[in-house]
Amino acid sequence: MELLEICDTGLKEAKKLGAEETEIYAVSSKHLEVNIEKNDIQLARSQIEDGVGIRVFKDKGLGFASISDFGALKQGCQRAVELARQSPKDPYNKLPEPVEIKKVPNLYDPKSENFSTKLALEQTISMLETARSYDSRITVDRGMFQAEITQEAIINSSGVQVEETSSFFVYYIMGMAVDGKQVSSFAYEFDGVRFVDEIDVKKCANDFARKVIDSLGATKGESFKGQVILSPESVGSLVASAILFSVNANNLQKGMSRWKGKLGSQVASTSLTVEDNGLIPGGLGSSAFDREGIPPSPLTIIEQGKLNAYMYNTYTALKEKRSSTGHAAGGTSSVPGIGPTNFTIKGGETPKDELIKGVKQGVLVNRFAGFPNPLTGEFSGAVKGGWLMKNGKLAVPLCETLIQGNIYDLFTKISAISKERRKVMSSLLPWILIDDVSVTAG
Amino acid sequence: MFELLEEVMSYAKGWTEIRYHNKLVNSITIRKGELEESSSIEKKGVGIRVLINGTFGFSSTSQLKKESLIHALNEATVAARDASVNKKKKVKGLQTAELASGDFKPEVNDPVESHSLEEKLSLVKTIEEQMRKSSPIIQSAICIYRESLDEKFILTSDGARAHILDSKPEFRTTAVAVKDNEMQMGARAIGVTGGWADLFHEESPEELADKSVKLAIDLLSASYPEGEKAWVILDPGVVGLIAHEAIGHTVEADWVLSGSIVKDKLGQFVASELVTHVDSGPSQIEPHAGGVVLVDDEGVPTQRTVIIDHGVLRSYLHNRESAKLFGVSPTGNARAWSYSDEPIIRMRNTYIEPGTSELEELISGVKHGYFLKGPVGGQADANAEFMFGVREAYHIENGKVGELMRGVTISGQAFDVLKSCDGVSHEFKWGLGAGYCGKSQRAKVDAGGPYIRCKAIIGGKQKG
Repeated sequence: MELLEICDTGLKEAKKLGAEETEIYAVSSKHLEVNIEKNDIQLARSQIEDGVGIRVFKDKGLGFASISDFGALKQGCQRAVELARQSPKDPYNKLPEPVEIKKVPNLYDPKSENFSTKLALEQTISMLETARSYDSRITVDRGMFQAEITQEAIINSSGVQVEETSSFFVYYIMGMAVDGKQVSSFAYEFDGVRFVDEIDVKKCANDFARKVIDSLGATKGESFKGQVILSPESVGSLVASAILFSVNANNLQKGMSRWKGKLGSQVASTSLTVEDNGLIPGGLGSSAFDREGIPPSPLTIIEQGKLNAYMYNTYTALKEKRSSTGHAAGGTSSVPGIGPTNFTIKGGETPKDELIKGVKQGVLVNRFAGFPNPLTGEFSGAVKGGWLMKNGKLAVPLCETLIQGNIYDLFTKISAISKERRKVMSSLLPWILIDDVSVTAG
Repeated sequence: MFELLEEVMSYAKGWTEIRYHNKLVNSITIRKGELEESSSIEKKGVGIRVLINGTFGFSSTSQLKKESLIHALNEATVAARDASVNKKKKVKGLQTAELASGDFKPEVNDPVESHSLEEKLSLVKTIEEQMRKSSPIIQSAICIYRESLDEKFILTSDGARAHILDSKPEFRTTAVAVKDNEMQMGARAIGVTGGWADLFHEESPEELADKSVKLAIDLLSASYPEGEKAWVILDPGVVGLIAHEAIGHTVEADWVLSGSIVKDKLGQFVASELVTHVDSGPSQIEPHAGGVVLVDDEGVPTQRTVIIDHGVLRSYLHNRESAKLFGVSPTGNARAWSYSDEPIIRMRNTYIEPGTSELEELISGVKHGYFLKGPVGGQADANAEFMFGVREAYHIENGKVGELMRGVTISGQAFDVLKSCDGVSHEFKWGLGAGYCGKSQRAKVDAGGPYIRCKAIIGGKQKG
């Protein structure tokens, strides 16, 4: 049965059971995957995963059920309606009306249909061998190559009816370097592409290998308060996560964001410009529609340090009598939340190497291991694959080094952003130089 | 169900494992007075793993018809055959063991299914409201109740035939306090293997709410600790995090085989003699640990596995493949999150055994240091360097516990930290019952222990 037919059957079933509004989100994806463990192929898999998310409103009460077997649609609808029956009324529980959508180009590669386990194995072996031949001290603890074709469809009782097919190849490699008794820090590298011809596992493997070998000989460094350069990956975990939390309309409305009422205010240094655009052709975060079937509006979230836009889904938009920005997010097993599409931070003027040249004493953070609290902005965590910078040079790789600060305070202390940017899955992020970070050496 | 699985098994060509798993997760979330989620998520299907030409193949299906299962078996077989061409070190077989047969279920007092949705909704609503209305400083609150109810049928071609039931409820409270443009949060989370009465056995929902509110408010006026290497006293939750994160991961046999820091260290002193470190499927010392596994996903009955015995490294954590390579018995650590995941080596309930010291004695011996409570989360590294966040840090000066400091990160080399351990208290608690571990797939785990004293790096502010 086609996905739209499944959605339609669910819609009718829920209505019969007494649902006043119904949204059915159905997904079917075909996965091929090869796993690496202990420097060798560990397992190959081939599977189809189905899922349906059923959201219903009855007397303005919410009920949500999810099933993994299309055959259980009726039981799923029954559970959702039963939950809705007992839920409190909420006047903002309303499904969106249809909005015209336009296909986003380059999300699907027809060649992906013929992508076999054998081809996945070839790519996996190539990734593993490239890393191992870079240096004999490299050991690959884990890795994966996955090819996936996903079909999605959404129908709701207000007339939304959308569907999309996309292809996705994702691969990662992680491990360490072992030199005698010395074991390096873990490092990993990953990438994702939409087209078979874009797959480049060798680059991924070489980048990983360079990282682990460079981190051998790490020392404990120095304690000080000063400059830190965040790599694109650590910008993702420290900077991007805080921005996304604070512009999420649900967090704003629930009193959990510091940026409530701050539209138009300066929240960061003028060098920071942040955008989100879900309509970029071929983008990993691109889609013609969001989790509710609404096209994502391209947003400039922060423009030269000024807060410019929040992200909404239908529920949060209704509360403010405005329209959704098309940022409803989530899978079949959750009520639609709010999330980004393709998140980008604009590049600056200074080449990355020039950023380093300007630092007298500082730390380059390649990966941040920690749990930044996006609500308070506080972060405290370990520097991974880091370097001590001295007099404009990368002096020595670091271990047992912690950094601490408040990310919202540090937004105003961004002193430069690199010209170069790196794709970190669906984000495009630069290196960022920040002042006044506390660094503690072990 | 066994009949269907056995019929499919009759088509199998090599070693085969067929696993039916129905995971039903019911959740209620209320935030700032609004119901954000009342959901029922069912993930049901069959995962099939085969070992052919020394290589594993895996497939799964959510369609429970015989033809779909046979198709999945064929897919797994083809995947294994294709992959075997490229696999260098073939799997030499799986370690034999007395595989599980029969029905297995944990001890459950007052099953969660006998409590109505209405009662659960009302509890979550009341507790969220209690937090929000407790003080004008509290701007927002979240309360979450979640129950995971699992049923599995595991069949292997070499004799496992186990029917397993499980019940793991959780309860979480978070309060957000705001004053003078400063925002802080306080949170508590509990989780058990068991029923409703087991979940609230130690702390009532009201107590959890009060503690969350108090912590959020107290943190508003707390300052940051100095970043330094110092003596620390860890509470059972934080000890649990060290047991899981800093040591536990390094002794997972798959990690050992890729060159973890404890490779070739069996029989050697890796920690202070005061430290005995265990990972157990059944709940030990205190009942209802949140990570109880009675039979693992390869059909191996679980046990209490002593990893470090009075400072000496004694065992790694194994599945059947690694146990065969090391020539030992499997420890029952092969776990899969859902039917569509293959079993991999995971921990269960990981802890440090209680000692004989009094907590007061441990504190009074610290001239300058910190008392760390409440694990937030952690990560481990290949070189056993760990980092984890703690919710509450209290200064200790001249043997006395002083002011609350803002949450910190502690770090160090796990085995150096354990070698520095000079005191282990006699208390014991599970402290991570609401915790999950991520290693390419999720796993429900618990961890705990006594109070211990050791030396670690505290991430904090620097002057300048």
